[in-house]
Amino acid sequence: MKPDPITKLEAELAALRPGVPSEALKDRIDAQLRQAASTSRVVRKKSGRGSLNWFAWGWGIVAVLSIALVVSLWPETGRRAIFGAADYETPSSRIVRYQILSEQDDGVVLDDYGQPVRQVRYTAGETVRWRSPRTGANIQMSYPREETMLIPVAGN
Amino acid sequence: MTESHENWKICFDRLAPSLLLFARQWAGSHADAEDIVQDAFVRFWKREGAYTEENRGLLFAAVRSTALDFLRSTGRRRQREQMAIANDSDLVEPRFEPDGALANDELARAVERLPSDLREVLVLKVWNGLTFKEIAAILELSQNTAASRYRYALESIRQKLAAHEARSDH
Repeated sequence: MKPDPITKLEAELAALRPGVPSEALKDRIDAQLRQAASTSRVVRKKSGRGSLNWFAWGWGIVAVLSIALVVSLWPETGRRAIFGAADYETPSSRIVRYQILSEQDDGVVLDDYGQPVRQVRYTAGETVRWRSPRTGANIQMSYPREETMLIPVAGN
Repeated sequence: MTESHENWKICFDRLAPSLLLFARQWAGSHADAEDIVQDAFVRFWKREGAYTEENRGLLFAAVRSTALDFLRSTGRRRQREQMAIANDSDLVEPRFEPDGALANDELARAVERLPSDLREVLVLKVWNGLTFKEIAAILELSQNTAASRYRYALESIRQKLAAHEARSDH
């Protein structure tokens, strides 16, 4: 059976071979995709927790343990003298000093939901004072801390 | 190296000639068409990470939008449109590999002389194997219009070839 002219024409058209791309084009795409992949990896890596966080947490734990040790070793009368019976249960405390020591802008990173955010890390020194209102005795503790601020970035 | 990063090469080897042909609708030279395909392919792959039956229309849509941006940025749109109206295909590089057969050369010339709106449907259908539904989505047409343009394109080529044969007989 003879094919109709349109089907024959379609077959002839399909037999025409489009021009082939140059090797350089493939290399250019390869380089661009590699660059994009490495940039993506760097951004994701930045969103992880740094070692400095553990440092700050460590100091915090040391501070708490120090307080617990001081309180447990103090004679009962001394403890009462410092805090008073009621104050010992709920000692009043407040931050008396908070100083930003350094600020590091990590740039735009992806958060846990894959959204772009600007990550800024602050290293600070914080001083907390526990005080007995009855006796006026107080304990003051200073420790470093790190805070990470994620600021939403408007995207297109 | 991720798996998807390697997969793009397989995809590219298979699609590149057809993508280049599609990009040539708007680019006067092979080099310009390669620039368009590069930008579009990288943009598509970074976003999709794979080429599938479901997203293949997006790749061609990316090529088209990149090509239109290219024309706008370089101010060549009017020039290309005037060239298309003049049907002066000798001014542009050939879109197909020459194979030495005179009949095929004439066929290729007939494709190049098609109005651009008919040619882009033909290219997507014949050399890229897209359905009229996909073509309609890419070109923002109705399916009926895409199918009609395809028929007009074939008919126009058929008439050009017939006219050429008639001239050759004289």
